[in-house]
Amino acid sequence: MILVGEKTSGSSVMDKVGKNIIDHVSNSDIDHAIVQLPQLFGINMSVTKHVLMLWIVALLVSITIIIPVRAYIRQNNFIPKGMANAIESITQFIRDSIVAPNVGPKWVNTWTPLMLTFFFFILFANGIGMIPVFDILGVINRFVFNVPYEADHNFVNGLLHGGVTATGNFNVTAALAIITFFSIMIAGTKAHGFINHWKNLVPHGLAWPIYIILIPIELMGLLVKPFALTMRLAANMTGGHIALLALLSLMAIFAEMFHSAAAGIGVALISVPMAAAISGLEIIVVIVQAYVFTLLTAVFVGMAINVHH
Amino acid sequence: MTNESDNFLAQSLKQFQRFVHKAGPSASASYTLLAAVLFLGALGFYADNYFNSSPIFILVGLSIGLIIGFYELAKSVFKK
Repeated sequence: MILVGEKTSGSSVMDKVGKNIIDHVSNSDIDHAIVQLPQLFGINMSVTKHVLMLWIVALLVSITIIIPVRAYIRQNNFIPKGMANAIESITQFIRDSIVAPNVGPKWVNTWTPLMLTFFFFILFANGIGMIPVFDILGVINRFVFNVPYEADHNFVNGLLHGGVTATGNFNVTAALAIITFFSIMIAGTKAHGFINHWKNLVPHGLAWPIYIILIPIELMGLLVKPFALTMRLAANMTGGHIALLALLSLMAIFAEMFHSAAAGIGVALISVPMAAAISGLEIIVVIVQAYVFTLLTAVFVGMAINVHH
Repeated sequence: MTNESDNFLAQSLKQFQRFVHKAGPSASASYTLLAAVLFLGALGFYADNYFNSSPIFILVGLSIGLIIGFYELAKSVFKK
């Protein structure tokens, strides 16, 4: 069916596969913004797909975490039930396994809330990327309500531009990494004072010419740490989705190459189970990436608090 | 039976916690090594484009990236 559609439009599947994959992992462009808004201080304030996804994630985190926790606090019984029980297990795991060993017992209660916020927010943002809500809406729109894909003014069609994984956007991960950067600064300043925090960047008691080399290296190192967080999370979240789409695109590519639907179906027998397997792997990646971001933030904050040279 | 499986799960989780604790600094060092090379390399690339001086700044950027990356790695390896 795709093949027939592509042939009639006059361009091959191969021409469209790359664009289609990029469109599925990147943010919707400003021309296809979900809500068009004017510029403010030279910045276009339009709501794009990833901005919408961030709002949805914030709402979901609020509903699934804040409400059960507030209900638990209000109750007279100290034993958590249902959702609060699950949240308690995760909270305890993050506090005892990630935060406490890195920042130390004195600062564990100071930094656990931030780490938990990172973990839950990234987990939900990664996880929502695995749920094809908008794609299903698009299919219903196309085949039940018979709205053509080209109808740009249709609201549901507007939602189809761009990917749903907000953490696959480098701007989102950079924003999270900037929070980490300032957390490192605040942690070091709170633990040692402002001047001592900067003094602690380099080892003490070295010959002064060494400092000419060491100080720029340490300052660059400060910037490199959030950069590592930015690249790692966004690249991992984008990579898995690209692999999935590339595998599924093989069906259309082979069908066109051999001018036969049977070739496409034959490849589907291999590519669809492989895509299903990668989807399973992606579920692990969703959890692991949220966990690694939290762990690395805890390590970096811990390095600012417990200075070793 | 339940006790045995609970014990096994508890032990596995404890072991996992131990691994996590040990792996944290290594993970941060490896990511920093890679990120330093990429970050400084990218800065060098853009500087070369701006000054039209290819490949001087990209080579300088990559070299400094390597130095910073290995310095951070050494810091975590030789930590007291």
